[in-house]
This record gives sequence, structure tokens and C-alpha cells, in this order.
Amino acid sequence: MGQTATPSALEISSLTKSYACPDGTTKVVLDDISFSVEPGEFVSIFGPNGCGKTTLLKVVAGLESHDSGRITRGWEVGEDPAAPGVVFQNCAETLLPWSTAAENVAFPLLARGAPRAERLASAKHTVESLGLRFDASQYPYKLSGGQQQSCCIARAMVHTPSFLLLDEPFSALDHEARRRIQKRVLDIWAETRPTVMMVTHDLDEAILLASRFILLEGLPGRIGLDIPVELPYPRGIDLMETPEFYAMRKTILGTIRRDLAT
Amino acid sequence: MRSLHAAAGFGILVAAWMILLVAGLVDARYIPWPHEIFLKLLSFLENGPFYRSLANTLFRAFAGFALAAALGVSAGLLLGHSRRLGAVFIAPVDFLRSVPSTSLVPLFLFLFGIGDASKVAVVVFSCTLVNLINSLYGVRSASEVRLMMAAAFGASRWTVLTKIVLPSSLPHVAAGLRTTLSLSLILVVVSEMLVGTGAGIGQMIMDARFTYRISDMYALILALGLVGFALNRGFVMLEGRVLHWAR
Repeated sequence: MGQTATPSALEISSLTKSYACPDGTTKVVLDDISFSVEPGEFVSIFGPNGCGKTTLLKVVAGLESHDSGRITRGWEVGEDPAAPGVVFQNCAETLLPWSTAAENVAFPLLARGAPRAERLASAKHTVESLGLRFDASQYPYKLSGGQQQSCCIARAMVHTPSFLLLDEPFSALDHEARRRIQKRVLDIWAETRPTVMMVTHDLDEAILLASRFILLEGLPGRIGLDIPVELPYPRGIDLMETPEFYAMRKTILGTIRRDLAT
Repeated sequence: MRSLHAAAGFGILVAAWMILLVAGLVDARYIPWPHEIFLKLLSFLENGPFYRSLANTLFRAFAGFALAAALGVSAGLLLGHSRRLGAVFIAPVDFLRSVPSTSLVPLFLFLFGIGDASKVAVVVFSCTLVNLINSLYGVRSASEVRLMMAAAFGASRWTVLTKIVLPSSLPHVAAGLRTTLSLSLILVVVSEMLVGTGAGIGQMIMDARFTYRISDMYALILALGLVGFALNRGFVMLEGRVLHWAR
């Protein structure tokens, strides 16, 4: 604390992870991954399908083990109030069908033992601050796919975590809802400055939101590029038409093309 | 529209029955005309002994059903939750489940006498095991991704158990209860026929048979069918309301 350098929010060094295949062979999915994330950074992890993005996120969340290397987290895996907020891939399957949307949003608070009234008030507040448009007293099966995903985004943020792990959090949203909710997420990020690690395979989204861009590519997945996104905040959709945005895009696509060629 | 279809189904059943009688393919002494049975049932509904028997039969069935629900569901949840207890007890439970409980009537007669207790015991024996198996698999049916979600948000074991594992098991628990609701009525009637003391519908059916009152017999069977049908319908409606999220 005080004058000393603030510790990293996340430190990964030489991380390797492989799965045992049914045919007896092992498949390496993450190979020698090293990077550290400073508090308040918005890091997007971009890459093709099957390059280990989701695995990396799960290892960071402590939901999967790794083979070698070190991870230092700003929280304890397990029962820790500082546990990160997570939006899972296929998040609709993680909603509890027997609970209303509001109770689903409030689940992280339930896990922390908050009383019902407080949970529902916080859920309502989060849903409103994200500008979500659904009836929170409904059960998930009454919501559309996009609304279910919005519900998951709200759930990840309801306990104002200092770290957010997002796995393709906007994939089920239509264009309008996606831009609107992305904007709200950026507003909240600017306001409370959580550290964000977002996995996506949408290049525009990866650049538009993040303060730092990491390209994960190949099999096993390695870091192909790790660069800051030096575009000014607050960012709007019109940013995507600027030369700076194009330049950023060009750099990234150039790297991908070069790596595919070799 | 659905009730119209159902009514048509019953109509076809009764018509087929009458065609068999008209064609002389069945003997009206053994299978009486539908209206005779129906009128007989109406006459039953006017007298006390029928209601007393019905009340006795239903009391035994419900007592057995409720006891079996309490025992079976709690044991099933426990064995489902604890891998070790489950591994120890699943095989014996499977064995006991394969024993027809009606074959144990003589044993229960020795143990519990000829009163209500032995009939209830037959129901409890079978229905407990059905509930146990359903609840056990219910507990184990909690989805991996939901458990992972709870772990990611730092939920305690207790929270995971009460907010994820138990609710996940409810549709399976309900399936067990629905099965045992019908089963308890069947087993009580059979044990009443075998043991045959004190008033009960099973006893009345046997009496009618021995005194050759064939349409009485069918009227009683019809009454049991209607009660069983109503119970099942009622349960399904309740289940649909309480477990609306389970589809």
C-alpha cells in the first residue's frame, strides 16, 4: 500500500496446460504463456476458435488446473469475497432455471451471504446501470438468448468485483444491444476501474473496448502479439471509422497473416 | 380441445366394449354392460360402507406414500450426495428393489399383524426404494456448468448444496413421488385382497367375487381407476405449477 508499487492484478509466467485425449495422447492447448495484468487494465484476448482462450480464462478463474508455470492472482481461489466476476461462454446454461432473473443476477451476493432485500436491490441497480431491458421478475426460460446473456453480464458485475473475466460476453446480443451494453460496460469500467480480461473472437470488439490487446494463436496457443490500444476513451462506435482504428486493425491482421504464412 | 380428445378416447373404449358384447364375443355374465357397472357405482355412492372402505384404503395408501416419501427422499438425497455411502448401498438397494414387495406380505403379517400396519408396510417397502433411487440420481444430476459457476463466484459447499444441488434434484424427486402415488394405491389394494381384514376396497372386491356379484366387482374397479386417475392428474397439475421451470 501507499508509496510502494501496486502489485499486479494477475501474473502468469510460463503457463502450460494440456488435456489427455481419449485415445491416450495428450494435446497441449496452452504453451509457455507469460504476461501480467496491472490493476485497472482492460485486456482483450483475441484469437481463432480452439486456440485455448477459454481454457486460459478458466485456469485464471481457478476452475481448471495447469501443468506447469505460475499464476499469481489478486484473490484466493475458493470462498473469497474478492473472487472475480465471470461471464461464461454458453452462459445461458449457467443460469439457475428455478430462480428469477433478479435472483440469478444476485447470485454472487447470495454466495457472500447477503440478505434477500439487499440482493434484490443490488440486482435492480446493476440491471439499470447496464441499461438492460427485461423484466427481472421473470424466469430465465421466459427470456430471449440476448436477455439471458445480459443477465449473465449483470451477474458478473453485481458485487462490483475488482476483477472481471469475460468469455465472449456479447456474442448472443443483437447489434443494437451489443453496442448499447458495451458502452455501459465501458462507462462502469471508467467509473470503478475493475481489471478486465475479455476473451473474444470479434476483432473490432477486441480493439474498441480494450486498453491492451493480446493475440493468442496457433495450437498449442501462444501469445502472438501483446500491444497497448492507444485510442482515447470514452470510445464510441464512430471510433471504428478513424484512421487510428484502421491502423490498429492492420497491425493485428498483418501479424496474423505473417504467422499463418510461417 | 384436449379434454374433448380425452372424452373421445373414453367413448371409443366404451363403444369397443359394447361392440364385443353385442357381437357375443364376450360373456355378459363375466363382463357386464357398461351402464350396469355405472349404475352400480352410483348406488355405491349412496351407501356408507363403500365410503368407509374407500377411506380406509386411501388412508393406508397415503400413510404408506407419505412415510415412503419422507424415508426414501431423505435417504436418496444422502446417498446421492455422499459418493462413498452411495457406492456402499446402491447394490443392496437395487437388490431389494427387485424383490416384489407383495411376496413379503406373509413376512409383514408376522411382523405387523393383520391390521393397517402390515398393508402400510408393503407400500413403504416398495415406494421407499423407488423414491430413494429417483432422489439419488436427482442429486447427481446437477449440471457441471452450474456447479462451476457457483465455484467461480466463491459459493460455499452449503450454498452449492441448497441452491444448486437440491433444486436440480427436484424434477427427479417429483418423478419418484408421482410413480409411488399410483404404486401405493396398487399395493394397498393387493395387500387388502391377500390379507383381507377390516374394511377396504380390495376386501370388497374379493367379497363381491366370492358372492358372484360381478357388476359390484367392476364398479369397485372403476371407482379405484377413477381415484387413481384423479390423484395422478392432480399431482401432475401441482408438479407443473411448482416445477414450472423444469418444462
